[in-house]
Amino acid sequence: MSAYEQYAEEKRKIDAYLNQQYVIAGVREGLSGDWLELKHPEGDQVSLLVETADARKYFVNMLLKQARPT
Amino acid sequence: MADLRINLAGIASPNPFWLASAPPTNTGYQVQRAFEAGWGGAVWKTLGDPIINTSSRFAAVHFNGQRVAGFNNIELISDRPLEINLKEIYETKRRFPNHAVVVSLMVEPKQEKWHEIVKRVEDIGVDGLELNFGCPHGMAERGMGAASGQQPDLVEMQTMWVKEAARTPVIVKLTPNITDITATAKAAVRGGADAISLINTINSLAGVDIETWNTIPHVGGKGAHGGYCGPAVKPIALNMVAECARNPLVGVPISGIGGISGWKDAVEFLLMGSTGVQVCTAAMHHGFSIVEDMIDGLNNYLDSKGLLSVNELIGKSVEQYSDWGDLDLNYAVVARIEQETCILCNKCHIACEDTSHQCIERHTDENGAAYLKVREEDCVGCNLCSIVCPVEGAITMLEVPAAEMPLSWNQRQAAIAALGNGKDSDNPGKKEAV
Repeated sequence: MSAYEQYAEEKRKIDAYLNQQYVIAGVREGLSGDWLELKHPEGDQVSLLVETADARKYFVNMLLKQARPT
Repeated sequence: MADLRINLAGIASPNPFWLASAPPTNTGYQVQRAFEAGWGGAVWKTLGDPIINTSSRFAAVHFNGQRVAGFNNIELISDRPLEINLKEIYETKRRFPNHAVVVSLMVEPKQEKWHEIVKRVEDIGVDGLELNFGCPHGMAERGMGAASGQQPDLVEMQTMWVKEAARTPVIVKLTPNITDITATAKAAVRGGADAISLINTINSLAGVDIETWNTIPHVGGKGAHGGYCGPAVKPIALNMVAECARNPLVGVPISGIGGISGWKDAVEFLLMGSTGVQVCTAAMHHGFSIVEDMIDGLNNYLDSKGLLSVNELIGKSVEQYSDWGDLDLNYAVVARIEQETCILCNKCHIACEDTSHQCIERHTDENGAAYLKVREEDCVGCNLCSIVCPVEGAITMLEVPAAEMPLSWNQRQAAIAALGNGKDSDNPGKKEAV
């Protein structure tokens, strides 16, 4: 799989959660990548391991959009 | 014709091109010939207790047919008595009253030594002093030059001693043989320096003769480290100039030195904060007359930019020089190969495949003709293919329209920190590996 395809796959998963109203509630950085903590308004939580550099950049773009008033 | 005059901390010069303190400024004969050729100023070869030089002294690094890509020397300061130098400096200044005559000085780190030489040199009428805290060899072993220049406290103290006695502007010349040159630049400013000049030469060994196993150069079979300069050091010098120029605690005019070989190099140093430049290796390689092209080139450049004075260039690129953490992570460029120009040498493919990100593919079209194509979605914009490409214009780096707002690493980390989570956990409770 090309680097772009790996990124696209990670982006697809992040977008899928965000489209289901999950919000980024926390990020824990480690040697394996970034663990993204996603929380749903109804209480469900999920952690995603984000490995690719582009996806680790992408979710912060999403985080900043999330923090911005719409 | 633009105005090329500069004024570096009170030292006026008809143009920004000075000869650096080095072999080209050893005598009045040389400096006067340089002024006749068009140089705007000269920093006289360093005066101090006269030394004895060795033979041989110089060596060069040639690279792929390029003569003198780098230059190495183990020559020390002036080997002529002070009185002779002073007499020639006096005569030179009298003949060329409008040119900048600055004198480089180096003595032991003692207050009375500095006071004495400053008074004697200023008494004959000079435009400024340059303190040599940078010479990396020989003098450093005696506690002078770079040995002083690598210790901020010694730089500050000696600058202060000079300023106690000096009536003319004092330029402190900095050594690059230090981790952070702004540390010594700030020390010079604390000591009262009116300006700084950088860089002096870099510790070096030009080479080893693989037949005789002698160093290059060698003195009867023995070698010692020298000072490296010439075109190869320009990027190192430019960075150090820029680091000083953008540091608010430095804040004094800069005389840029290091691998300046033509007017374009000079423009780069001016844009990065130098008020003027000093040149040595290029003059040693090609003679004093190179200054004619430098002056013409700079004049034409200023005219083409619609600038009336060279001073309008000074520091114009400093704001663009930042820290890595402030660069935009969302900015992207990708390579594109122009099929009409490409000669199919495969250099880009090999470079990308072997040493970068494996995104240049070899294809065959419907007519059986080979062609190279960048898989743009996987291109990280490293520029390597365009760097190794031997054909001008065959590979273009194209900006990708930004889909997101600018995002720096520092902004990214601040956004993550604002969430209030700890770092460095590979073992969260509930997880789903992407």
